[in-house]
This record gives sequence, structure tokens and C-alpha cells, in this order.
Amino acid sequence: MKLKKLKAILLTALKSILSNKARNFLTMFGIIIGIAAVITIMSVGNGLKQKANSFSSLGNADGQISIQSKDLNSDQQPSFSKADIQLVETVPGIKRVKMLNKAFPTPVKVQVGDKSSEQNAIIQNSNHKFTVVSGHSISSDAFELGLNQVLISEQLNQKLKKYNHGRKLVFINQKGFEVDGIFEDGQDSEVLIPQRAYVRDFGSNPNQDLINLYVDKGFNKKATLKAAAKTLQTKSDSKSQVKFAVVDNKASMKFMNKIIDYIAYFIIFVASISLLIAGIGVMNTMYMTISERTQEIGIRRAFGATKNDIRLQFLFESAMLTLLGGFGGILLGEGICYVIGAFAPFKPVTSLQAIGVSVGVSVSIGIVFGIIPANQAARKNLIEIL
Amino acid sequence: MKDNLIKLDDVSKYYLAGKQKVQILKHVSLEIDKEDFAVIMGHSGSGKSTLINILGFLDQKYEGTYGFAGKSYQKQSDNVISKLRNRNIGFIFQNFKLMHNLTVKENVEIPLIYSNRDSDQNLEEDLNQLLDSLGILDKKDSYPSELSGGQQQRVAIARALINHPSIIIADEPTGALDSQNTQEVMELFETLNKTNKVTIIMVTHDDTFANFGNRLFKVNDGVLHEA
Repeated sequence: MKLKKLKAILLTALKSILSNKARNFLTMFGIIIGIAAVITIMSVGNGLKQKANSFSSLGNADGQISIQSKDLNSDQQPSFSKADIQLVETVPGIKRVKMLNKAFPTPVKVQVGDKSSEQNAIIQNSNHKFTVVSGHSISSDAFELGLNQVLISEQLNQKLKKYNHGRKLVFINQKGFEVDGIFEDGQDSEVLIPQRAYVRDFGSNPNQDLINLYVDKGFNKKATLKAAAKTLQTKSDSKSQVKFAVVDNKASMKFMNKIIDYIAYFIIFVASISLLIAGIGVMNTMYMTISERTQEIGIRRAFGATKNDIRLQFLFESAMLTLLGGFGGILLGEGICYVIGAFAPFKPVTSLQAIGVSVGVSVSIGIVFGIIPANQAARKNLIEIL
Repeated sequence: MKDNLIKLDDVSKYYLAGKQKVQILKHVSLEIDKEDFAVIMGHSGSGKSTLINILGFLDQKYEGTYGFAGKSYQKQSDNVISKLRNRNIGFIFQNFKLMHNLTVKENVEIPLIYSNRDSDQNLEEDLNQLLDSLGILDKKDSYPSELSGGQQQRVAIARALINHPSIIIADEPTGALDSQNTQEVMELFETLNKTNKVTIIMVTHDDTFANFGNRLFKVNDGVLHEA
């Protein structure tokens, strides 16, 4: 298409939309609401999933294998050897193996004064990776003896100052811990707890040595993971002392993700009805616009506009109208997400995909509901309208 | 035999009034050559508007043959006909038919939107020259509602001329003008025809213009004859 024509079509559409602000705003209203709902639910779902995933070390891997001592009374936490990793890599279908030898953030209930909140804790046997900015780090004795001493983040320290009247004491899962020092924010957790203290107080070691496995496309994930665990169990040097098992952490996650998805589908279904009604409104507005502008159609046709030019003109106008509504909806949705983020314990995250879906949906509504009026405009009898 | 610019041969047109078929044009034959200034006179309802709708390719439903520059377009597609109108026909209407939300410049540019003269470097200059020759260059960015009737008709004339059409079709061009402006517009037509060699077909019911052109036709009850 000629640039000049495109420019003229766009300008005419914009002029027409702006010259009827009130009517067009009302037309766009349904689109704005519908798209805002879509953006909100997609972002909330996304945020929830990310939050849920942050509790797990799985990331985007296809599965995990754990290593555990066969002797349940053993203090020793076994770990994967280099040979074990190489062994797993030989299993057909395994694309990549990643060792996870760091401590994973573990959710704990932290109570400061009479305020309690869910926080992530790192449970390990050293101050490793934590930079103390005030107070002092936990002594090696304290780690050795499993004393109830912790480091907390600057952020958590703010709460301590506010609610605890200077007492350096927090309750973690209802056990008292003395705050030794404050570490810099930016860790993925707010508390560092000595592992021995945690195991004694709460009876379990939440840290496990794990490997993350990535399965090649075309291989059955479950079977491949099972085969990897079996290979380790039969061939590993430490096979007599330890048990290798496929971690079933995806099951619960999957369930949660599914629920989030179902809620999202339901709300998107409701939003679709809103968008459908909005589409009918767009159609109505386009019929009105066209009947107001029959003279213009006649003039343009007399001076060389083809039926297609006229059709395109009104299709563009309709699509532009709904696209503007879509932008409005995206902004409103972002606003709602911001408010939700301020109150809810997670932040809604708007994906590029959600924006793309919104833009696509709003433009499609304009085209789908604009095509019939636009065709009617194109087919108008020239002699009757001039 | 030379090719006329326009050659109507035995053209008839019917329309339905309820269930009755009414013949509005009766076996019209007509030849118009390049640089003619044809005046077609007739009372309202005589069929003269129907005639120019056919001549201007606004109406394709008729019986008989219409040759334009030696070619028949009766069976052509909408795209071809639209292009033909764009390039070859410049319409001027009684009530100007300007778009009121567009400036003078934008109104005059409408035929350019649908032509392929995008790459034409002299377009802007062309436009300014045309507006200047019609005495409305200073109104370039005004809106039609800010202009007098005479000025509005000049804008319409500029719009009809911008694509250098082979023929100007004017339907009662002075019908909405006072005598002063009527005089000026008619003189303008005369200049366009004599100096710029523009072919003009003008429809009117006003006897005073009978002698403006070099050809005079009269339509009465759908029958056309040259006077």
C-alpha cells in the first residue's frame, strides 16, 4: 500500500475517533475493563507461580534426584560425587545435570514482638556468602554447638527496631533465637540459622544434596529420571551406604499451578464475555460513524477511492478504537496489579506474553466486529450517497 | 473514423418505482471531443443527473454502449473504474461537497491519496500553483466553514483539477452561489477551457449559461438532442 494512503487512512481514523471522544470512550469502556481483567489475572497468576517456584530449587529443570543416607540415625549428610554426576550424564535422554550444593531457602515463621510473618531462611553451617554490616557474625562455636543464634537481614532488622523495643530476640517457628548480627539485603532469604540448631529444634534437616536434571526433548521425562536414579543406585561408588530417589516436588507444584491456571481460565472466560459485549458496542459505533459519514464515503469514492479503500478505512478505524481501549486496559490492569502487589504477599508480574495477548485480542475485536460495518460502507451505492 | 473522447451510443436507463419500470434515459447518443465545453440543460427530473452519473462512471447500470477514449468500461471491476475516476474525471458538485473536518489543502489532496503520485516531487509545488491560480492560496490551512460560498466552490474546483483529469464534470456548479460568484466561477470555467484546454461537461437548468460552451445539449423527459 502507498505510504500516503496509509498515512491518510490513519490520520482520518484518528481524527474521527477524537472528534467523538465521549461516544468512543463509552465504546472503549468494555474493552478497557476486559483487557484490564486479562492483564490482572495473567499477572497475578504469573506472580503466584513465580512465588511458588521461588520456594523450590527446581527452577526450570525437569526433575531432581536426591541422595540420602540409608542409616537414618546418621549425622552425616551424603553428597553427590563428581563420578556420580558423570554417571548420570551417560543415561540416555539426560541433556544436562546441575549440582545444587548450596542451602535452599526454607520458609519459616518469624515472630518479632507480636508481629509474625513468613520469611525464607537459609540453614547452613557457616556464615558463607553473608556479609555482616552490623553486630557480629555467628561464631564457629555457635555453629558447632548448635546455639540458637541467627543473623537477620537489614529489612527484618527494621521490624525488630520497630516492634521489639531494642531486644535482640526473634522467634522462629515459636523457638527463641538471639540476633547476633545484621547482613546486607539482597540474599534470597531474611534469616541465617545454624543447621545444628535447626535440626535439634525442629527435628529435620531441610537441606538435601540434590542434582537438577534436564531431559532431552522426545524422551519421557518420568522414565528418564527413574532410569537415572536406578543407574546411580546400581553403579555409584557409594551405592551401599546411600539411597538415590527421584524427588517428587513437581507434583504439589503442578497441582498449585493447575489451580492458578483454572482460576485464570475462569476469569479470562468472564473477561471474554465482557469483550464480546464490547465488540458488539464497537460494531454499533461503527454503524453510527458510517451512517454519519456517508457523504464522505461518496466524495472519496467519486475521487477514486476503491471499495477496498473504504473498507480498509473503517477497519483501521475500528481496530484503532479497540487498540486504544486495549492500551487503556493494559494501563488499568497494571494499576490494579500495583495495588495488589502493595497488599498481597507476592508481586504480580506482567509478562510480555500478557501484553501481546492484550494487544492481539483488542485489535482482533476491532477487526472481527468492524468487518461487517466496513463491508457495508464499501458496498454503499454511489449514486444514492452523493 | 476518429475516436471521440466520449461516445454514448443508444444509452437507456431504467429504474424501478415500486413495481413499475420507469425509463429515465431514452436511447441517448452523444459525442464529446477533447477541449469541448458542453453545456447540458434540462429541468429537474429530465434525466440530466442520471446522464452525468453515467458519463462520470458513478453509475454502471445502463443499456447501450459508452466508449471513453475509444474503450468500453461497462464490464470492468470496481478497482479499474475507481482508478479511471481518479485519473480522468474531476467532479464539481452544486453544494461543493467538501469535507468539513479537513483543511482546504487536505480537501484538495483527496484525489492524490488514491493516485500513485507518491513519488512525484513537484506535488506540493503543483498544489500551491493551482491554489494560487484560483486565488485561494492564502486559505490553504483554513477549514471550509471559514470560507465564502465562492471560495468553497474554488476549493472544489481545485480538488477536481489536482490530478489533471481528461474531463471536468460539473453538476449545477453555480446553483448555490450568488450572482457575483456565479459570474466569477463561469469566467473561471471559460479560462480553464480556452487557456488550459480542459474538457468540461456542465449541467445546468439556467438558460443564461446556454451560450458559455461550444456545444449545447438539451434533455427533455430522458431524450437528448443537440441544440
